[in-house]
Amino acid sequence: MVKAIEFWNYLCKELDYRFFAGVACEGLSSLYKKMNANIMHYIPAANERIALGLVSGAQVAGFKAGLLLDMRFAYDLTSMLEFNVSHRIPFLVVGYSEKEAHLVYDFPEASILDNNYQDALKQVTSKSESELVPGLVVIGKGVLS
Amino acid sequence: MKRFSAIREFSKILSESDVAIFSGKEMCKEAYQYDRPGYFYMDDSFGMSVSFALGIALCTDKRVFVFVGEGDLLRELAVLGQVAVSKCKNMFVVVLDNGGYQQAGNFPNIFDGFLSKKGVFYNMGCLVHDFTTNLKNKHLVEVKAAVERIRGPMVILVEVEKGFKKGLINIKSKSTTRTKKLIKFVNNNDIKSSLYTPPVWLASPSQEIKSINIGEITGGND
Repeated sequence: MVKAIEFWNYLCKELDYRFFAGVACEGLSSLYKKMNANIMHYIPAANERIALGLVSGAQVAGFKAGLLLDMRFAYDLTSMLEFNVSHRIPFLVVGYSEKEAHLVYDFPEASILDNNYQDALKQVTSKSESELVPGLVVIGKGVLS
Repeated sequence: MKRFSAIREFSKILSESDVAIFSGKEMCKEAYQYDRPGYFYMDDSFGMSVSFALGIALCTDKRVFVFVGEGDLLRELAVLGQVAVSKCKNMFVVVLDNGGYQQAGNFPNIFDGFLSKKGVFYNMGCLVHDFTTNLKNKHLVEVKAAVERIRGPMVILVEVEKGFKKGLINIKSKSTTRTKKLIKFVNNNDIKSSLYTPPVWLASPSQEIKSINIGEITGGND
C-alpha cells in the first residue's frame, strides 16, 4: 500500500510539483483527504477539460503542475491534449483506473504498484519535463491508503 | 464596429505589461498585426483558452486578458463559473460577439437566444462591462480610463459586426516558439503588474463611521 501522505510529500517536496487541479473521484479520495495546503495548491475544477486548461496555464506561469483524473474521462481530453503536444507544455497526470489505461498519445507513463511510487513518479516526471510532453502515472484500485 | 477594429483599439488600451491570449484562427491573425511580447495566439483552442488564461492568472500578478468569440465560449460555458469563483482580480474575459460561427460560414449559434447575455455572466458571479457603445462611438478615452481601473474576475462584452479582415499575413512563428515567448514574458518579474490598486482610504472603511445600535434608535426591546 502507498500512503497518500507520503505520496504528496514526495511529489510536492522532492519533485516540486505544487499546483494541482481536478475533479474529485472516489478512486483518488485518499489523495484528496491527505492534501496539505502548506506544500501544494489545489483548484477543484468544474470538469476535466477546465482542469487541463488550468494546469497548462500554471505550467506556463512557472509552476510544475499536476492533473488529478479519473481515467474514465481521459477520452474527453484527447482533442485538447493536441494543444499541449503542439505547444510543448508538459504536466503530470495522476490518474485512477481499475484496469489498464492510457492517454491517446505515446506519453511517458507508469503504473503505481505497492512500493514503486517514487521510482514511477521520478521516471515519468523527468521524461515528461525533458521531452516537454504530458506524463501519466496510473494508480490502481486498493493501492492507496 | 468590426472585430479587427475592436482588437486594434484594445491593443492601444492594454498596458505593455498585460498578457493577452487570442482564441481562434482568424482572431489570432487579426491580433497578430499588433503583436506584442505579451500576446499569445491559440489558433486551435479546443475551447481551452479561458481555462488556460485562468491558470496563468492564478500564478502571476500580471493582468491576463483572454479574447474569445461567443461561439468558442459556448463550447465551455462552465469555465465562466470557474473564473467567477476563482475571485482572480487579474482575470478578464473579453467576449467579441459577432453573432455566429464565422469561420464555418457565419452560421448562427445560440448566444443570441439568451434572455440576457450580461445576465448569464453576472449570475455566474463575474463582473460585467459592456463596451459596445463606447467603442462604436469612439469614446476611447472613457474606455481606456475604465480599463486602467478594472478589477476582475470580469467579462467584457463587445458586440462586433459579422465578417473578418481578409488578406492579413499569417502568424509566422511556430507554436513552440509562441509558448517560449509567453513563458518568458509571464515569468519576467521586471515587468510589473498594471493591476489597479485602490487607494488605502477607499479600500478600508473610515475610522469615523461608528456602528449604530438599532435598539437605541427604536427605544430598545422593552
